[in-house]
Amino acid sequence: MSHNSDHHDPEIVLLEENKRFYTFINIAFFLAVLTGIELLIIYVPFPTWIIWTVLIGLSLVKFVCVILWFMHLIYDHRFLTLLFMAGLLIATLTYIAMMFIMQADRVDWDAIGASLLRPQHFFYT
Amino acid sequence: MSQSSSNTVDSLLDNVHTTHPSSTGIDNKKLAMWAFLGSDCMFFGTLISTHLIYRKLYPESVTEPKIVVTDLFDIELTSFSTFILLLSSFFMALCVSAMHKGQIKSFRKNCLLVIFFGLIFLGCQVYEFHHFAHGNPDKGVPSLTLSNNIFGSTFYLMTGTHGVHVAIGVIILLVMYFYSYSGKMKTAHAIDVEMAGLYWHFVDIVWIIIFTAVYLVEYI
Repeated sequence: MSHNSDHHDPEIVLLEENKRFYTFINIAFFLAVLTGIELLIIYVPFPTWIIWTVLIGLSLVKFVCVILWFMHLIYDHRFLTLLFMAGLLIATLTYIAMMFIMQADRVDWDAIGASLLRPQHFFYT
Repeated sequence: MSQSSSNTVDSLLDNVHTTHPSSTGIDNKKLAMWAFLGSDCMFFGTLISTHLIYRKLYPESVTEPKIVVTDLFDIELTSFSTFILLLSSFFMALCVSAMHKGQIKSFRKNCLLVIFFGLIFLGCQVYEFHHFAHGNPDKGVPSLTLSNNIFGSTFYLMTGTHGVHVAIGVIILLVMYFYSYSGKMKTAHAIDVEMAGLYWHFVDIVWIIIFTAVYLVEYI
């Protein structure tokens, strides 16, 4: 449903916007509560994987709430969602690809330094 | 410029700002803005990925100077600025809603609040950068600059780029706020305010990711 093209009747627009006003308040309150939970959970002595999962989950919920309601994707044309998700998907795939490409473990600088200091390094490798 | 030619220009501007039918059924401005936001997603995705990957490859123990990130960060301040940005997003949504309803006064009030909260966020970021760049010698916390540490390089680049986005958003809103006093701003301009709103909300969602992926994970 397109917000601008479907109707221009001022009364309908007013009615819809008034309905959205309360949705915006609820979403803002919900987002503030989620941010508070995020802040508290890092101090709770839970296993790391649980905290990671909760943090990622809460961030995703906040992200989705903002794009759906504040950015009107839920009221707008579905193509716009696809357009944005395409960018998001490429960004996520870039991150995953970079993770695999740079899968080297911690760089052992001492070992690298020692091998460079050996004179035969330059002749035999 | 004579009165009649001024009216012609005004009517032409009104015509430009009116929604035109398009083959997609979506307003062209809106389509362009979403395409831009999609590309900006890739841009920030790269910056965040670079930071996280270098953070994994070069942990605190191997970088010089040795920086304990949790000693450096002030999570209360960052949480406050996150909350401020979320609040500004709420007022931005109200700002767009007011413009759709043609309530210019309400638009101005909400727009001013968004600008105010945006400036507070920027102030917090400037304070944070200043604090990081000077370190805390009394507590043995070394300074973190753009060039003295790999963490500093990726951190400042990513958060700085986000800060520039916020600053651009504030400038756009300031222009809209002052333009609303010209008497030329009408309901037909709601689409322009909506575009500014989309940009502002995008800046907010990027911060939601940065706050979790860069700040909070350091405390786990």
